[in-house]
Amino acid sequence: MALEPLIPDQVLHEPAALDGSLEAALDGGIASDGASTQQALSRGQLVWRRFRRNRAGMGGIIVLGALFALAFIGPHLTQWSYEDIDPNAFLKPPSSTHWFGTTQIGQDVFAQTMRGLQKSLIIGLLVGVISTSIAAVVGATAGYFGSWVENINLFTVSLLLVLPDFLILAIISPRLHDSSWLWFVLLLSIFSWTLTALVIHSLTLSLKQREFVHAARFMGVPSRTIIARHILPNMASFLIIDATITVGAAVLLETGLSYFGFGIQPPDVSLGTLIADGTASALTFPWLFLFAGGFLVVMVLAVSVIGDALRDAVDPQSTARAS
Amino acid sequence: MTTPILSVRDLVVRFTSEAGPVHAVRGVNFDVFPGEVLGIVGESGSGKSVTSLATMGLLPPSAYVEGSVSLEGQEMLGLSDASLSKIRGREIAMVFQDPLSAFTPVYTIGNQIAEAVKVHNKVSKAAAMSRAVELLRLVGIPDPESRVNSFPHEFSGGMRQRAMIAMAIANNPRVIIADEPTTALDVTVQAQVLEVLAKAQDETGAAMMLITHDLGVVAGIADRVAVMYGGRIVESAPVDPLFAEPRMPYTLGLLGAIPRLDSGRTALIPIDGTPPSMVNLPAGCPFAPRCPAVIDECRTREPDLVAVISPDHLAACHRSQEISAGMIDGEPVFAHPDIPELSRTQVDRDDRAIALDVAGLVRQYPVTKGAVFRRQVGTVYAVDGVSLDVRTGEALAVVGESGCGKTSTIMEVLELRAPKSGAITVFGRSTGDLSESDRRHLRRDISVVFQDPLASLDPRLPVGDIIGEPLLTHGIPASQRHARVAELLGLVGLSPAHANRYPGEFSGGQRQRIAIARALALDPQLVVLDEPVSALDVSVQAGVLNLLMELRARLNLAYLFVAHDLSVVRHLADRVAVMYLGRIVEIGEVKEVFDHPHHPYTQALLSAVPLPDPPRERTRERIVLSGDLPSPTFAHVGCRFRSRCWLATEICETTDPQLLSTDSSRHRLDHASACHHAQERSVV
Repeated sequence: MALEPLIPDQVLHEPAALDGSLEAALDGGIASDGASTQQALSRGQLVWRRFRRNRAGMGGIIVLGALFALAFIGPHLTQWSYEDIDPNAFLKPPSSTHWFGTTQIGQDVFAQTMRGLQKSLIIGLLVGVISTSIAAVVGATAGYFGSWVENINLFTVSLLLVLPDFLILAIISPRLHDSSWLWFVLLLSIFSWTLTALVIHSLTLSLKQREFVHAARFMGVPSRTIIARHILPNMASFLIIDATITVGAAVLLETGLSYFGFGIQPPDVSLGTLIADGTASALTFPWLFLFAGGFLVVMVLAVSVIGDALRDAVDPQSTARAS
Repeated sequence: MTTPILSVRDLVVRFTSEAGPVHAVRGVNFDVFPGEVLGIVGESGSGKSVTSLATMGLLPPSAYVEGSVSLEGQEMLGLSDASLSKIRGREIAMVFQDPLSAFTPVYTIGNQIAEAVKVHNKVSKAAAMSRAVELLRLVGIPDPESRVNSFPHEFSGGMRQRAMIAMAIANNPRVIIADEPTTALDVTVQAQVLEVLAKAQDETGAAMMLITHDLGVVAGIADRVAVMYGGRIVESAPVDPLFAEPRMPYTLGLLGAIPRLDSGRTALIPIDGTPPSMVNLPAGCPFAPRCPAVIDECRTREPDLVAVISPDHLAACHRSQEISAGMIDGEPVFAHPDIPELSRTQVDRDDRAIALDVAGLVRQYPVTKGAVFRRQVGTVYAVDGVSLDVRTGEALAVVGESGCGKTSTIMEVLELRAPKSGAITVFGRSTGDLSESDRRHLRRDISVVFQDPLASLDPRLPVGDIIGEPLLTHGIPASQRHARVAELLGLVGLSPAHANRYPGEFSGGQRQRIAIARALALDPQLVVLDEPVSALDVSVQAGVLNLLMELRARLNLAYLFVAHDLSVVRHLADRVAVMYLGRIVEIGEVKEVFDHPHHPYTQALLSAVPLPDPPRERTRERIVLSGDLPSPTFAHVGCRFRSRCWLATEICETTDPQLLSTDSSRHRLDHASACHHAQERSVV
């Protein structure tokens, strides 16, 4: 090509120098990779690469995996089940027979904690993902399409905000009494998405005006693809943080509902109910509270570290700042 | 020689940043003499604004400042803020770039000017107010007695900038610093403001420091010019020798890179590369990586600013003695790039197929009031009966001031929907009766490049996905897509290895190349360009313009583009349509319209464009339009331009002029204008 030669390489690499070692590593990785395959990576592949390079994020995934393994394998390692009562051990501290001690009525705390961890892991993660997804879909469609879609969506949000959660529960719960706990997950999600949806709505309103959205529209990209490809990724930081927080909040919200007789009922347990029961004796009989509380902290921490790493992987600028 | 009024010596400014110290200004020396205008020219990041802020003592406390700034022998650096406040406004005043943010929105203009008076003088409030009225009259605000009570948002951009100047000269300062005073303004308003600045300087006898990126502005108003690059002055000379005999390759490159209104379509001379990062400056001359005349010494030792021809012509280049008339060793410093000529054989315009036809297009926006119960209180007549056509392989430019409806016009075209009134026909298909799938299919043939490449590229998508998006949307299989993306990147002068990077890692010019690559992905026949180079630095802009010219010649594209810079239009377009208040007032072949403008508005617009040629700029007749663009919210009777027109008569008030072919005594002309009193007047 006769026109303007390629921009000299050192000029192009300048931002890499600015961004420090991480970007430089990225350049190196891509350069060697590009040479072998000569193929451009799509966003998904690129995000996964960037995520894998983040040690904390990978650590979070390993911890979360370990928690799952423990929750499902753990109960088989002990002779006690979460319902069993050991009449010879009331309120005993941790020992070789009862690894995490026992409760007032002689239940094995280890077995209970493992059972609770199973429930809470699934409830927490599912609610985090489901509620943020509902919020993203409702908020983004309201903001993007405007007119009647916006009116309906925002009316629904306002309605859910105004109606007390327990009123809805009271109406629905008799029908759900014997159905699966997955319904309960859905219910928890329905209570946690509304405020997020409002924020996403207003974020969408401003993103919609950006030229890259116009550009996609004039290319003929369908609206739902624009929302999925351009609008939501550009608020990924917010979505990820929101989902992370919801995971922890859902575990505790579940406790509140259980207290009122919805959700996890005794003798079944969750981390939430265990924590609620153990709080009163946290100082006198710490094992009742500490193990359940500790696992909740580890779980939420792992999730937020993963969320952080994901955010850095999705947002090119946030990596630059972090390094 | 008189003593300088403002003298800056060895000024160094550093900021700290995460990446290391930013060397914003690295040893700047200059003097400003009484009554003189010193122009400081540079691209973004050259340190010109930081220099002016340091002179005023307005840098944040975190900045490290070293050197000396003396105003009439008094050292300014190191003074306390309290003692600086006594000097600022009275001895040295500043006109900022953005007049909207430079005024406090909750006080009236009059109050703010009166405050500037009262701070430095013991006068009554009434006296200060009457001084404010006097100042507003001086800067040409009509009806100053009532406008003095207006709030900043009630003023137009040009009027705010005048008020800003009024505030700056309120206390007859010795030095006025104007930092990009006209950058945010339309060209006709720029001409007004420059005139007011010159008048204000005359009136007060002050010296002026004019900071700008526009060489044309400097050519007309400055006495001496300093060119900044990489935080230093690289060349400084009186205005005529600087433009006639630049001795530093950067100045030379800058002059070659600006499109000129008075020269036809030739390739511009871009400067390769991008301005240096001020964090990790390489050793040696900062311009060395981009300089075509670079020698080994340039990479090791930074040249000093020394006298070249005469004691007042300084240049910082190891080879400045060898450079003469743009040549070095008998060769031009910057090689003229080769751009293929338009391959189109001279087929008559009428015989080529119509790519886009717009007839009587109307676009109105409702003006609404109220948050809960929205009701319409008026209508903005953004586009009010526009007709134009673009033939295959042809470039049509739409020009006009901001608010004239040019962007609304192209957006309406891009929507590919039935307009409120009128008709849009794209490649023979009317947009009114397209089905959804037809419309999607038609989008393959028409693509768009937006003004700001940072905003038009999704920051979260890698470049490969951005360029591949139109291909993906129109169902091109993955294997072909990757090959096409690599091909497109090569076509616009980037490397296929860049596909895995995000837009944020590229410079402005490269981003615009990415946007162009995306627009070309599906081999469109018509590309719509919305101010494609106005967000770019001059040296980078030239490269992108050349690319657009080359692509057009190679791919036989038709361009419909919007621009406010008439020099760019002259370079890129075959035909031009001049818009005013939602109407086309003059349309025709570029050369014809620019050399023989018939409509008074076209004449004013053309005459307001500054030329980077000081002797011509001084002698040129300039038509300065009075006032601003009228509000587009009411329907007009008669000629829209009559409120600002010097030819207006009774007929203009009652009869709307039609777009008629101009005098056809010469051979069949592609040139029409809408004016009752149309007469040719050469203004370039």
